[in-house]
Amino acid sequence: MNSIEGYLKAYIDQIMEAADLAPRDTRRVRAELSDHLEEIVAISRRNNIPEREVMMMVEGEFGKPKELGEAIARARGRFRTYLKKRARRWPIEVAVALVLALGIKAFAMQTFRATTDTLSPVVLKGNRVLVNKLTSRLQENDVIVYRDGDYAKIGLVKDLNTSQDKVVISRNGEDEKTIDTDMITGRVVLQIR
Amino acid sequence: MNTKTQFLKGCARTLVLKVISERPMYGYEIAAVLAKRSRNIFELGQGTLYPMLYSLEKAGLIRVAREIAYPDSGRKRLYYELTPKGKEVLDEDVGTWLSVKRGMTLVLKGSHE
Repeated sequence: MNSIEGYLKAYIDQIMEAADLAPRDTRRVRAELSDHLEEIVAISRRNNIPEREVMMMVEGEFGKPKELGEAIARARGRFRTYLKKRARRWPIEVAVALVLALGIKAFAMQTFRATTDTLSPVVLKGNRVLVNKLTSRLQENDVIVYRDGDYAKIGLVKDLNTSQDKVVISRNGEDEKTIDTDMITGRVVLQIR
Repeated sequence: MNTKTQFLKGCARTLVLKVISERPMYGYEIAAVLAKRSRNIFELGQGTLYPMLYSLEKAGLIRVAREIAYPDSGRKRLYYELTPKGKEVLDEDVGTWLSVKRGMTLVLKGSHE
């Protein structure tokens, strides 16, 4: 790596360190700034501008790397960047939650996956739901999982008929139906992507 | 920041939107075209250019239209275009500018009488 390439790399490294963006953002900004700087260098070389002057030009036009990095961080949204960084940790926390959920599955909690759009947008297709099997009291607008023959199904509680141990539920694209409370596995307490 | 710089920065946003509205452009190009067409009155230091482009993107006024990657060097050229919202803001800004220009011209001209 010759001196100017080394200089540019160090310069961009300083900018990115000050910007402290989430990894994907960092890759994008770094790639974009590299392109710009390399174009400046290429044009300067064509015009036979000495390397030392090119380096001065870069700093003159781009400014101090720390300031630029901070300006970029503000522009990309520091808080959003913070959230994106947090979001990368969620999969681990979700995995832990799922392990716990599966661990006490037989007793109190069980997870199911929504394989259809039946309860969209309340429960999205592909999401997992955590069901509390020990719920005693249901309410209107609770999301429940119940057993229909061999299948576990999901439904939205519309009406309760407690005296007869029946519940009226709705599902997208179907008529409201009445099910017995003993068909109910439990109430959805959490939805996980 | 002195008043001239502040003022120019506000105008620069409108001009960046205008320049991008004509065809998708990447950072270096935007700065070069702006400097050339404004006869160097608007020389957006690249230190100002990228924070401005990123804020415009965050505000939903511009978006990346296409990218060209150069895998061996890790560079990427990102071409920006206006979004419909960006077009609206540009039109508004131009309208505001024309009023300001007219008002300023009238009053400044008047004071020389």
